[in-house]
Amino acid sequence: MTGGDWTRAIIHLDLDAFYASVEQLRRPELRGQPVIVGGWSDESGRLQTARGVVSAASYEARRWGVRSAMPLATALRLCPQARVVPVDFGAYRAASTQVFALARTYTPVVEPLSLDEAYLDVTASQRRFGAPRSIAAELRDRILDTTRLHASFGVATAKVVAKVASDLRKPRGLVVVEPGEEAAFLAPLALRTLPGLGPAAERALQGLGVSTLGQLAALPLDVLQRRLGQAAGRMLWERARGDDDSAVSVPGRPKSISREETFAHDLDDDDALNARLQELAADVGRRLRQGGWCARTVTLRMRYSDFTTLTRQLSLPAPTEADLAIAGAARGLLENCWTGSPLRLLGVGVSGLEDASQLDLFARRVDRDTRVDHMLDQLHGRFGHSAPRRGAATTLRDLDFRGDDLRGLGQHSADER
Amino acid sequence: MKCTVSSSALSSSLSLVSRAVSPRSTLPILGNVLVETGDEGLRLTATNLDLTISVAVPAEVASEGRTTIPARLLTEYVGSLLDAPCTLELNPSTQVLRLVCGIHRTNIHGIDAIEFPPLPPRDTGAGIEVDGPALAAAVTQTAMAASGDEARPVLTGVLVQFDADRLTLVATDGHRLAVKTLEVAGGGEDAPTGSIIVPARHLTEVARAITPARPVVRVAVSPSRNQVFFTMPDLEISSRLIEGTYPNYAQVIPGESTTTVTLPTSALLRETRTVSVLAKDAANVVRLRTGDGTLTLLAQTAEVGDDEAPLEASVNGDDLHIAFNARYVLDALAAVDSDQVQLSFNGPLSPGVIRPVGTDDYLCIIMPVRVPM
Repeated sequence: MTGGDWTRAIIHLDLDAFYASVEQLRRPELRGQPVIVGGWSDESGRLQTARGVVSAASYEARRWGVRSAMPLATALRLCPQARVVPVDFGAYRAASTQVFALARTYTPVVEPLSLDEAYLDVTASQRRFGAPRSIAAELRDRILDTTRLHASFGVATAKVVAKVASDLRKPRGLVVVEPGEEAAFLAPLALRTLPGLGPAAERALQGLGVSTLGQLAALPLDVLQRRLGQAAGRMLWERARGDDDSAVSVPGRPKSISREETFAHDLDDDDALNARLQELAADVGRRLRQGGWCARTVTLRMRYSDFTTLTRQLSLPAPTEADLAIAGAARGLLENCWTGSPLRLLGVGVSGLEDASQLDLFARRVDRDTRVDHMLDQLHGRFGHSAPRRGAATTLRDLDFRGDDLRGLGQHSADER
Repeated sequence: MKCTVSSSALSSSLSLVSRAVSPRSTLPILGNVLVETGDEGLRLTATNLDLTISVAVPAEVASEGRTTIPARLLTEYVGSLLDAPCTLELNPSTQVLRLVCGIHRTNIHGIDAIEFPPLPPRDTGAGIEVDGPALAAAVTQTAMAASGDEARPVLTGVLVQFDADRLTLVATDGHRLAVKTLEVAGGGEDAPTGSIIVPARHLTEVARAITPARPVVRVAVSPSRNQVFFTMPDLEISSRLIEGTYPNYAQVIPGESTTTVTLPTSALLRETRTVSVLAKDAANVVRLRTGDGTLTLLAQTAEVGDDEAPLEASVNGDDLHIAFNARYVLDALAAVDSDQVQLSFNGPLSPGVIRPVGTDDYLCIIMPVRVPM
């Protein structure tokens, strides 16, 4: 195959069973075992699985029918021998950063979709690195050498085709769809292999007697649009023929940043909620500062035990990147709308992101808070989640320097008195 | 009540007092203007309880009386009349005001003046006289820096500080600060002392009312220090004062600077306005970069475009790269009344100072914007 046909060359990179593979790499005893990533460690380091879901499963576990997003309890019924390990995003993010850095040595145009998935536009890289297929193969080998992680690759002239291709021979696949072959490649595939085609659209299409992408592409456009709506109809029709000119976009400033937490036990204690809220606000603030942004609007999300979910927003008088300002606004929203019933989830987010922050003339105190945020960021960079946090964000755990629980001791001495 | 008045004089006086009418008040009477006969002719008064404006209109009074008339209706109606003598006559039992002007025979329903809120006691406190146009200019130069955010009421006002031979006006919204000093003739025993905080919006109404026909303004503070009066020959504006402690503004005025730039005011104003077009979708941030004999203005909006404009300037001190909200810079430059303007800085995160060259009675301080450099 000649490289000249590739007027656009896009690679879809998808790491295989990523979270589980990272866990198997750093814990050799898990290799070859069915591994489920999910749940969390409680304060004493014990794994809690009561209400968790499967974040990821190794291929060994998938063989037993374990899938992502499945409740952990269900997964363990299917595969009782599975080893469950808690989610450790820090480790996955580090591995992901390494992989994407390798990808960026071939092209600056890398669009990460998640920690384990990215599009690369290598159109302009062909002169230096050769044909798209050899770029993908070389990247695959270097990722394996450097990180010992396996990945699947799809190579095509359009994003949607590349993504379908990478999914086709997972794991460790490398599928190249030559220019001009897109429609023929897609034609025999099942409807659900097309990104953006969900169960509802699938049912609607089956009603029309359509079960493959080739049949979908052969439908008259107006028939499809009557069934699925103007925009969705056109989008699926074009995608089914491999017609997708959307660009690989290098991420810039996001529209919003948010963090939410589902509690191990529903919380109705004001102090505890306040501590969670401060911690969530601090996470959001840190990500704002990492990007060099500030935000105009703070959002609070809360879900009661009965799953009633509320979202409330507040616009700040001036954009901020300060933990305390975000936490203060979120706290105000909580005070305004929380009924006092137990909450199962709390989330803090910011939107209306701007690149710049207006400094204040009379802000001595704010200056001090800014410096504290900065110091905490640096500590977080070094120590991760065990780094110090602002006072209210830490429930007093009464642990001494060895980690022993002093709470019992305190009670003991109180009894003595 | 019966009197005759020029419709154009009545119209301009109505548009003046209607500035104190609250458009959406819960008290219907506050939507009305008090119309009453007096020694000077006809007197019109409107109030929103915080701001009261009262003006005398020359009139031939045949019989005394008073009533209140919906302000918007009366202002719009009189404003559309051709200039001609207008006769106003009140039927006290029905509170209907009959206006006869040109070909019009008009009846407007009013509300009894007894319903009108009691007005603040007239100016009796300590006062000084100030040159009208100078006061109007000083208000314009400072009030723009006041805050619109009611969360910090003190900052929505202008600090007016009385000294022996000076009047100082200060306004800040926390991001920028404007300070203007006016020379005043010694007020003697009677002069007010200390400082008061006047709502910036009310001061702007005072500035708007000052015309060549009103060359001198008496500024007085009520003995209880909760009202300020601005008295002109035919006009009185009184405002409630804002209570609270004004921030210590003097401490944020930098004494020295590490970079100074001097250049023509009009050129910098014009070019900043042009560059700011490219900053509209980027938080309105304009960057300033000093170099050898140049001040370069830069604006950049991702996926929209950018602009770079080097201006000839006299530059002294360290090289600097600093960013500001363009609106603050434009407001400050528009307030500078000299041909040349001096900008002085102490690094990218410290306040910048804008002042006219040749006088030291005005300065504007702007806090920069922190941007990823």
